Amino acid sequence: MDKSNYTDKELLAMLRNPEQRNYAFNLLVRQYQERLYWHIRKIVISHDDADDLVQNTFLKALENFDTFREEAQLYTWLYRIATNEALTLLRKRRNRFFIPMVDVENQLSKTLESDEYFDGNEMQRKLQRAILKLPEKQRIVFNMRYFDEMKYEEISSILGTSVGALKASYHHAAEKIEKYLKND
Amino acid sequence: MLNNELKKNPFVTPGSYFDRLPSIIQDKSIEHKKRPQFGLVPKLAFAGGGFMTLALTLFLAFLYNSTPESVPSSGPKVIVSDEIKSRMEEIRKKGLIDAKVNYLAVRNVNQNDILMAKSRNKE
Repeated sequence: MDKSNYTDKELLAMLRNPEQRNYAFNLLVRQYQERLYWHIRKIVISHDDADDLVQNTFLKALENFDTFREEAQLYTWLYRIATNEALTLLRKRRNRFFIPMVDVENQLSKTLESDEYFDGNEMQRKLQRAILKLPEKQRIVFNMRYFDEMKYEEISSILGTSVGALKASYHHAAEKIEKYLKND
Repeated sequence: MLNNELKKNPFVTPGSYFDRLPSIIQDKSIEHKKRPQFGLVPKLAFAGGGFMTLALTLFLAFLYNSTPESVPSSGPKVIVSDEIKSRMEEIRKKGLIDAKVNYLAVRNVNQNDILMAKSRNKE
């Protein structure tokens, strides 16, 4: 199946047509699954969690296509759902046992250490540990800019934060990470 | 230190994960559609049940609070010895009724009087 055949506009038109919806949904999943999965995975670290969340993301999108406003780009909207799903999971874990924020991040670090689906070298592991020490939103900004190489304008439309604030956030994140990598 | 080498994604997935994911999601979307959605009547029944439970709980709490034994006395507990009672009676007869005076007289009961009253009550 050639993923690049359809534009977002065409996909949306097919999704709104009940007869083509299933086919269009399948195309949508194939077109965006990897991007969304990796975005989520970098937030939650665990493959199993990322797997659940990416599925939830697409199911939520399917339920809510009727409310999707076409002023936003389709992938921006999907990214937003994916980000919210990941953050909701972390918050639920934080609140379930009244664990303070720092412990959830420690849990993620432990997951990183024992993750069978981590294939990086020691320096990459150290980088991931450094990223986990950042505040939640800063971590997401850093991942989107550094790993996904997204433009600030794209990140801004996904997170609803101004470009200026994002640049500052990324700059601070990079500083903290570099300091950690030098000192650790 | 943040160079391009570190940009390489260090995470991996189980084999053929992205080949399988679309059909997993498709199957879930079909299951999702088949799942009975809560209609208005079940919703009302659920809400009604919750309301009834709340109403019953409040009613029981009201009943409990209404029983005489459960009503705490609002005033201070004061043990008035027989001597003080007779003194109060004297005051009343003399027409020197004054709630405040009586209250003060009672309030001025010292610990010994209370203990005496207690011991007399036991006898």
